Amino acid sequence: MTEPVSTLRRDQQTTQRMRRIPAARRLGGSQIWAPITGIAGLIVTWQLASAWLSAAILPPPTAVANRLFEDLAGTQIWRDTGITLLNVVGSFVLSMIGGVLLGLWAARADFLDRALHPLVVVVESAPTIAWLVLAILWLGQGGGPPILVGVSMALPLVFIATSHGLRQIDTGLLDMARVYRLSALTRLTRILLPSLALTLAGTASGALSVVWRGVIMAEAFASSQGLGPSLWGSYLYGEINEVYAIILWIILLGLALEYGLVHPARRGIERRLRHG
Amino acid sequence: MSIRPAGASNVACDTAEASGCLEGRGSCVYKQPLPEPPATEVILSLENVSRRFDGGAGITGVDLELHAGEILGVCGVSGCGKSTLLRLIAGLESPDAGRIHHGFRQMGMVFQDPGLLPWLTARGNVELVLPKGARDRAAAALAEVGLEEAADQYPAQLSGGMRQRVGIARALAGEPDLLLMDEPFASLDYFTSLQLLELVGRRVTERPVGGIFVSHDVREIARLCDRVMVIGGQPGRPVTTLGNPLDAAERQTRPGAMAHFENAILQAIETGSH
Repeated sequence: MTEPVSTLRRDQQTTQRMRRIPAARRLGGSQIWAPITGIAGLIVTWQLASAWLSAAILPPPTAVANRLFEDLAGTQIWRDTGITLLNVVGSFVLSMIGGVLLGLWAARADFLDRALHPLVVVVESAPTIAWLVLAILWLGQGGGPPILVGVSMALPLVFIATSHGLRQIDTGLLDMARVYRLSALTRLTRILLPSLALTLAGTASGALSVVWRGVIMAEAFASSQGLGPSLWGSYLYGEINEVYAIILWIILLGLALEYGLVHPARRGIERRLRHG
Repeated sequence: MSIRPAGASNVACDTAEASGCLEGRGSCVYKQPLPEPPATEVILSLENVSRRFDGGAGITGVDLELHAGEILGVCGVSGCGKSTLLRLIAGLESPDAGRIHHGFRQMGMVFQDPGLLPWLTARGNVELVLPKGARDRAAAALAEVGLEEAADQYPAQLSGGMRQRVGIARALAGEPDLLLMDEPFASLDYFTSLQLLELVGRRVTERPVGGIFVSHDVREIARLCDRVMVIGGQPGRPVTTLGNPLDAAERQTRPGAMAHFENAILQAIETGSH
């Protein structure tokens, strides 16, 4: 009988000690060190593996980093990055606007919603390579196919999130809007879009990720400019250090977009919508 | 107006036996005549209105007339169709049968959950329903419900009672001539609901606003309403309409004198639910 009591006391003492530690230290420590430990572990593993494998398959991280610094000192990689970012941002913006408009349109009638859903599932489940072939067939080589492939991958995600988000909107707010005869524009800007913002902020992260992958792959096969063709060209010419350097650069850009743009935007929206 | 139940040609209910009668007897027949409607225009009338849902719920056979400056209470057991009636009047539901004539110019509604937008301040929520040229009325409406200092706070920063006050300010800011209230104080404590009840009662009396007040709390109904429509059955139908023996001023000063009326309402609800 005494053990549970002492265990309880111990728990209470631990809890009291925890309370004395500032929250920032309790959480901040693991939040900062955990990802650093993970990345450091990956680099060490990479270094060890490169010692065992041929440099033609896996060059050491130092060689890749050096090559990337050399590239960044030049102009070509910046030109390619600019073109790829334009394609990514273009696909992302078109997907967000198109998906939200389609979702809002479908919400106007159950029939539309039920009719559009299977179409979206078809678009979503078609393999990326199928969309790439069709895009080249319809638009030819150039900047069109990467954008079309990006949109085909991200738009269904945004549409489904919008459709789902609209079903979650507090019906009390919609009743209030009808009772006070709010205009369609006021309903859209003051009720529907803010209600959807949280759902869409989460979806934006996933959409950006698939757009990023789809655009680079499509560029590699359908375009002569951008990071995709640089990566593919380096592979064809056997420049393995360059291949890894471009992959590393693509990953760093993706992280920068996610944590420099999407993440702060999502946090800002959450703060704005969940005031107090 | 006398509080003594009197025999009259306009008998509201002659079947509801009420205990705690003001005459001092153990029980009596509630024969309070319906009050004469105010000499104002009819702002709302319903003719044999019905709305039924799958499973038998809904409401049927409702006839009513509401004059400006008059408050009608609607009560009954849960699921009898009180809120459906209010939603029909508000235009949130369409009737299956019957007709609803709207004679009012502007409607305000206080919901059980105030339905505030969390991303707008109290002032923003009130301004939302006002026309562009009348946004300055929001500050006055918030001041009227005692929230002038909380005008720039967000709903999450306000207590339940304060949020409901914002809902009331929003309903009144548009200067409605019909005010619909759907169990607005159900989630509030007794004293807060009493305060808000007095506020609504005062505002309705000061301006000739017609009101329909749905509640399951007979004390609230007796304090605020001139007439009470009791609904029973499933689908719900009006069982009876009772007149309040006290006028608006007397209700505030002699709340204890309403026990007889409250008992009559309870008796009618019980009769209607069988």
